[in-house]
Amino acid sequence: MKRKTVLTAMLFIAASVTLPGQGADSFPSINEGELSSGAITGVRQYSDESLYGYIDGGAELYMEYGFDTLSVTDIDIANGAIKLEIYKMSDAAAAFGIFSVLRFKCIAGVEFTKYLCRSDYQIQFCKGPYYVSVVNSNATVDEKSISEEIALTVASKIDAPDITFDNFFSGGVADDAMQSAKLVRGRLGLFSGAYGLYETLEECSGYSALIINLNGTILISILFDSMESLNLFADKEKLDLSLMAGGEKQITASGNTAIMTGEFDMLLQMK
Amino acid sequence: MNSVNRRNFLRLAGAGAAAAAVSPVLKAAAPPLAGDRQQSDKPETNIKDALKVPRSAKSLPGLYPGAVVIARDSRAVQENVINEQIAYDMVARSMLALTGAGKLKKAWRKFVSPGDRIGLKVNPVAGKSLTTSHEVVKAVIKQLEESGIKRSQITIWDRREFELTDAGFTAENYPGINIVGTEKMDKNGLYYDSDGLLYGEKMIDKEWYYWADVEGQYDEYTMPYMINGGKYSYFTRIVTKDLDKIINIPILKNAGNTVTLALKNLAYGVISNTGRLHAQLWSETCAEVCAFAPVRDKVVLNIVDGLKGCFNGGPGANPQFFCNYNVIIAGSDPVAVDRIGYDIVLRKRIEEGLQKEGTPRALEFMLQAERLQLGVADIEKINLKELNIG
Repeated sequence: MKRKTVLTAMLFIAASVTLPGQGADSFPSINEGELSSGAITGVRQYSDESLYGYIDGGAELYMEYGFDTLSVTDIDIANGAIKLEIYKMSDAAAAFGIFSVLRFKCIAGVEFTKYLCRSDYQIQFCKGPYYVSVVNSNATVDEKSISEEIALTVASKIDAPDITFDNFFSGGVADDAMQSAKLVRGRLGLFSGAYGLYETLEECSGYSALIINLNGTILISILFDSMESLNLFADKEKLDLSLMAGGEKQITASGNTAIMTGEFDMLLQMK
Repeated sequence: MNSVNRRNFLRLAGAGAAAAAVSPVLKAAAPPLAGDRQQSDKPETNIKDALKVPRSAKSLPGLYPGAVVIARDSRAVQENVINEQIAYDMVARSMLALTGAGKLKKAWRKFVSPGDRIGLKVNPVAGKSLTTSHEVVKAVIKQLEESGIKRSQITIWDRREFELTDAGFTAENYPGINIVGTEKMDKNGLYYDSDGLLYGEKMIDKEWYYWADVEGQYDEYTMPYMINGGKYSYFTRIVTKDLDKIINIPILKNAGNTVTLALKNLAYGVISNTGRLHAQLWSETCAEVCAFAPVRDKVVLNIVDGLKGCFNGGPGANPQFFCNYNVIIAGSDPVAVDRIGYDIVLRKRIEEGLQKEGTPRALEFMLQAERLQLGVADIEKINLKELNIG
């Protein structure tokens, strides 16, 4: 049986909501009993392209990263409402990627998980393959407090180690650099969070790029998923891959410094 | 493995050695404009068939080609609440400035008549936190009524009826106004009737279609949102049969590096099977669908609700990117309206550090629409009237 759920069939009011697959490979969720106040008024789930049914063209960004399933829980509270969205992405890097381009002007708070961002109306975090967003409607103290409670509960139910980025930068990346890092896999990610790199990567496909700012120097580690993707980039940037395979550093057509770091991997230092 | 690994490279970069080797800047050439199929490998569409239908005096860009009014009032949104009276005044002042009429009734009657069946195309797709506001929609309805239009002649519509409901466009909030969507579900939350037919299928008009050489293939869970797969996108009967005039009321939002305003709200709102069109033909769809007679000849006015909006994360609702633009943008010309709206969103994106400058690609769909004679995309040719109300 497909792990998909008819959207409307899941619209119900319940004291306890269990999503498909709960168990060893459970999809995190919130139960009404876990809320200090409020009532769950509906749960919907979207898989693959049915995400168009939820956010129409907005679905493209998630699909670009690799989307699996979204669970949306509507919660009514006194004089307000909260919406919990749990996106299961194709992998942890995809979840971090979405988080990285959608976080914005984060404000401080309790750090119950590593990649977390708060604003008055929203708490966002990613953990394992999940990107989670808790949105309130009025930014009242009560709404923010219940949102924290929900986010904390959901995070505690995700049994996944923090993502590491050793495959992008051997030895990893310092935590402070990751606070502003962006991970993109296509044009929409670039538009959303890394616009300055648009010209460099706009024609590329089949890649994951982690962009970090290291003491004012912008570095991009690009992992291409095939020789074809790498060749496309190399052709556009006028790079001689045979020379680079021997360890030669080259300057791209865009003026950036490039070096091969693996069979299909490249590191750029932006001009 | 190469002799220089990432760790070494980082060390080099940190020392500035790599930076010293950077060559002079090579400015990337401006990309070719999509939609110019002689220069691109874009899939074919049936736009040529659409253009065979003769234009009329009612065709877009309508009564005021190239004319746009922006009304600004910094008091419009206070503590996240829109002031209904200020919204009303901003719409009214925009209408007077656009038409040059001395009285509001005369301004509206240039576009609509008492016998018309009038549709208000709103955009509730991002949910109630980022929808066309009720304050602006109610202002439009009130002014239509004051101009002699009965409520029973007015329809609020969009693609998905359930999104209208979620955003508060309900009979309870709009007594006497028709509220309808192409894609429907029944009271039991089902998209299919007892015969197994999608309710939405009854709402499309197969005599009007946008054909594109891109196949839509959807699973059973996605189909209710698309109505049909394949290479045809059918127009909704709401537009082809049920309405005489359309007033387009989008909300001021970004869509990636560009905007989803008048043209996008119309194009993706009037046809089925849209999922296939986002990736390869977004700009073409925004422009070309609006060149089909049911849209081209029925849209009389575009009023962008820019009181609240977003500058990133759109078209979905991501509250960290919401902002109060405090503007209303009005015009009969959807291309010119979009071009002005684009500048507002771009300025905000630059102000927020998301980008440093605009890009020609963001204007693609407007330029294509201009080539289809739907309006004016050249900023130098747009006659912009700015009203700074408060």
